[in-house]
Amino acid sequence: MPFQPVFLVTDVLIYVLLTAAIAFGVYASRREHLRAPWRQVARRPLAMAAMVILSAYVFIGLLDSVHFRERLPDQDQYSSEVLSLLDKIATPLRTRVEKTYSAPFAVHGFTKETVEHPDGSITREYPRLLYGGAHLEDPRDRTADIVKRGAVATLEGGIVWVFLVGAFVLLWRRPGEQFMHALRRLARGDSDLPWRTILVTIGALILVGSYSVNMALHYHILGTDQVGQDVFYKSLKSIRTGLVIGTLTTLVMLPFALVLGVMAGYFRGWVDDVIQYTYTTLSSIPGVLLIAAAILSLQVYMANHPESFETVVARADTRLLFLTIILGVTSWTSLCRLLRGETLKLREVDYIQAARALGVGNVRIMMRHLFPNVMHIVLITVVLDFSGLVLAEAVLSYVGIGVDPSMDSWGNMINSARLEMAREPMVWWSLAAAFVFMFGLVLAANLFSDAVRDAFDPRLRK
Amino acid sequence: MTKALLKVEGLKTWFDTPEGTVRAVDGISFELRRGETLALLGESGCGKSISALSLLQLVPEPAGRIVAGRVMLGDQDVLAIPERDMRKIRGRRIAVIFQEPQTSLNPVLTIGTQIREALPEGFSDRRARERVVALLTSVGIADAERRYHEYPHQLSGGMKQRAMIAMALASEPDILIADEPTTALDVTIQAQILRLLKELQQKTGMAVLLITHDLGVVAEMADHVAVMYAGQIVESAPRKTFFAEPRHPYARKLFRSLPSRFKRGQALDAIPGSVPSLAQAFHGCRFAERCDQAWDLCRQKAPRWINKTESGVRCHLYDPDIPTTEAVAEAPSAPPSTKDAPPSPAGPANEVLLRMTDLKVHFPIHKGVFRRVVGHVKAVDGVSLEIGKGRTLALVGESGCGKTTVGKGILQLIRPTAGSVTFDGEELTALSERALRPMRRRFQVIFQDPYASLNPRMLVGDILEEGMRAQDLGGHPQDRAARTEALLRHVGLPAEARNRYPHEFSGGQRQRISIARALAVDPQLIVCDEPTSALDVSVQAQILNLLKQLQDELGLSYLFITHNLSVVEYLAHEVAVMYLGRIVEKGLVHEVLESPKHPYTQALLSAVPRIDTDTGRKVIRLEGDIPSPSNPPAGCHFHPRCPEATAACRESYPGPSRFSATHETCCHLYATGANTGKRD
Repeated sequence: MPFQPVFLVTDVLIYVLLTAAIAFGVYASRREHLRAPWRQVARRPLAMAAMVILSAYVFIGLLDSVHFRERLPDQDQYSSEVLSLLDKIATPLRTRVEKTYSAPFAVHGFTKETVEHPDGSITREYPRLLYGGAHLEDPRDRTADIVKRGAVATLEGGIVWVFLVGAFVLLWRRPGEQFMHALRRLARGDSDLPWRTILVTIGALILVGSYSVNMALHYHILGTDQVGQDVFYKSLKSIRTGLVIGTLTTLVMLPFALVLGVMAGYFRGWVDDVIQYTYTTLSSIPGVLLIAAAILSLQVYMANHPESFETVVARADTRLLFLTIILGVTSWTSLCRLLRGETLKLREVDYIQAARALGVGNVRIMMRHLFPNVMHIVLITVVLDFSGLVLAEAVLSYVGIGVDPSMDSWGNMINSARLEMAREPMVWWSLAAAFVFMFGLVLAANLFSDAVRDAFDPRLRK
Repeated sequence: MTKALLKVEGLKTWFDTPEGTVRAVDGISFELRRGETLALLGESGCGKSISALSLLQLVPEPAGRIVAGRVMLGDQDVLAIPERDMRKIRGRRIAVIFQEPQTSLNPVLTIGTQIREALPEGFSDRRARERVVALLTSVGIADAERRYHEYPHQLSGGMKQRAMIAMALASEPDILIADEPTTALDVTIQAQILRLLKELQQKTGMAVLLITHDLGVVAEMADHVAVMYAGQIVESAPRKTFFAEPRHPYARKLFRSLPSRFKRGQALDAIPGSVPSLAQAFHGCRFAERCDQAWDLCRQKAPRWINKTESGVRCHLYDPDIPTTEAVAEAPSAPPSTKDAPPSPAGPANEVLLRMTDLKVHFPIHKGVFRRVVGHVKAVDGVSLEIGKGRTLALVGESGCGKTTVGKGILQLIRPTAGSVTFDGEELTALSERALRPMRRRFQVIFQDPYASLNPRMLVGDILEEGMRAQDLGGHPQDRAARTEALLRHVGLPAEARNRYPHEFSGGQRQRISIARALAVDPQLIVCDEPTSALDVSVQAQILNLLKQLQDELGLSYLFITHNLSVVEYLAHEVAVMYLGRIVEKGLVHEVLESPKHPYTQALLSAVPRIDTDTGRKVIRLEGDIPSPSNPPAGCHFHPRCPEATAACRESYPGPSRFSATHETCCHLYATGANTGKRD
């Protein structure tokens, strides 16, 4: 085999989450009461635009979640380096490492170096970069080259988009409807779902993608960092970290919150007391302290047991997993409290009383009657928490108790960039890149979660 | 005839919803004169509340809009007045009181402050205060000075409604719109409020637009009646004419579907179906689908408004231009079929199915950090009852008297604090939850709220099968499915209902599903907790018929918990009247309702508004509210409100006095001789 698949723990969890999401989608599509609110979400143009952007992030994140080890050439051994599909696709970005900092689209280095010329003279000057703009004979052609490539990118992206829209209209038009008529209908926004908005957002994304591909092969479009790595590549790699923190943390906390919250509300009495005291105590401990303690002790363990981790990536991954777990443990309390309150209300509702009168068992009442009827709260909390968790990762990594320093994450990017902010001229691109990528994700998530909340919250429903 | 104070002409209010335009009010016209009470009578969803809101331009926007019509207040068209000037009309010239006194008052402001806000401007501080106190006194709130500084939660429901009325009266309006002002209140409180409204009207000469669904309230209060159906007024007449001879088939049907003792043993003449959705364009008469006198024309052409001097009706039957030969000749009010429901004997029960002895349910009141028990709410405090096989026992009482708790105590949904419940010889209170589970199939429950009693996330089939599954009944999945379908048909629903969700059904249909769910496990006893009080009159009759039919077919016993005495008269064999956790009187239905002994029973019976109001009924008005069950009055619980209380009543709770083998009451009035002799 030319490669050996590697399943990191977080990969497996992501697959589980993905399967669960798909299963839920299939399940929901068959049930009117679940389908109706989603349809309401789908009718909101802004939410669907956000959805498209989120999908792009998720797509990149998933590409980065398929790991393998390549066979070393001419040997019966696999490389010790674990790569992901994204790494493979972005090999040029990954391998073109400069010496140190360089600005976006630069052709020269950021710092002066002593250069020895062929004639023996020695000068201090900004050297040409090894890869950035290396194809240019004369660095002064840079602007013209960028403009030319930009035009090509626009053209390519435009063509792809036009084909996409055409294909969509062909599939979407009503039977017997003329193509131009359907196109006009689409342009007017005369459709059940906001297809116009969706297609325009996709168009914008295609354009961004096309620019990136065209430019990134020849320039470092977001510059390079201290060790000369491409910042654009690092930003892309950080997407997975952000998504993992935002989603897996929820996965970790959900069982706690759901089971304990519903149990506390349903059984009352001493069960309620124990659960309430547990989460009250837990939520009184400052979360950062708990996280710091857990991560630092994990660090000590890792330092003492290097043999437990096959690769650097596996090591970093373990730390990421731990971070999600500890974040989950510190954040389940608020959802638990909400669910307890809702269950307290629900247990007195007639249909639960009727089920008890029919002799239905407690477990079954919780499964059939309580869980489905508190699911809207879970869903709202999950989508609202997502963006908060992505931001929390950035803060924690900045403080130094976040993900492994060897792992790409927006928090680490900010952390490493903070000292360079004081330089003159300033090294701003690491920070800006992290900011833009994070902002895009969090804004899209927030817009989407607003729509989800509007659709699912019974108090907002008419 | 005096000039109309308010004149509504062709008012149309529509709502734009994703499902289409809902014509909630579709061209109504009426007049309101000074000193007159006009009752707008109709079932839920027929547009009566929206009509009232439209008069004040309070229709929720942007979904709702007033499409057409004029509302003439004197010479002014209210609908043409801009929002800024409407404030001078609302609350000043037209005031409103709403159904829910609980939600109509702001909980964080004192009563006094809220009423002061409603006063016209230009009152000095001291004068405003005096005026508010005067208003509170005028609506019958004792100790108004103290109440001025109290918050809404310190007042009882009836008191809050009085405060709402005081607020409405603050600026001496010409017109008072009362939107179901007593629906949320108990009968004895309702009687107080209705009397108050009447007195105030006589004093101030204001016009009242009374919106209600209760024929009894209409009979008590109204001068003129307008019946609404599906967004239109279908009949309008002076009260006397209306009650003597309702003309529209819908109105006539309404009267016939009312349960009463005279219809005992007969099936009620229920109106089939339910109020049509207003999100459609009607072509013919809106009532045609449910009318037994409809003919082809009714489905093709909408009837026009046929006016006679004081009254009018919207029905082809009365259209002089339509030859009567075509119409079904005045259908004789079909005698309700008596054969399928033979009158059940009202004699004493033969075989006892359920016996409660001295049942007590106390809820502890916790206080402080350590949650020490500082007292008990004695929701049920020593209730002894028996239900015979195939019999119906009605448990009657006002809200908060503990009747629902008795039901839950029987079902062991709340474990009783003391006393015993024996079901078919088996002591239920002694059984563990596990041992109880197989027993549970023998006693079932139907709840009041058809919207809360079905899990919205489950298919109707799953809801019905849940009990069978839990009780391991019905065998194979196919057999269960077949049984489910049979059950649905039995309660009058199509078998396909199995694959639909509860939200696709109307209130009455949901109640049928609830009944089917209870029947799924072959119970012997069904606790019916106000099963019809959330339903419209026409649908109530359907459900009562179904319950009666099921009893006759399956020999079920019912514990019928209700506050509606006419339902009791119609359905029950025995009655027990409850007050503050105790039974004050029980006996066979005719014994209790025809010769009530306990003063509370007498007051309760007299407080119910009757249609035959001209018979010179003497209403015993009870003052005050039901005391809290956590701190019941010493002695007889009823003595603070009892018109016949004596010194003995303040000291000890009276023992039972028997009048016949079945009829007994707990009252000192009858205790003198009975105390020694008849207690065995």
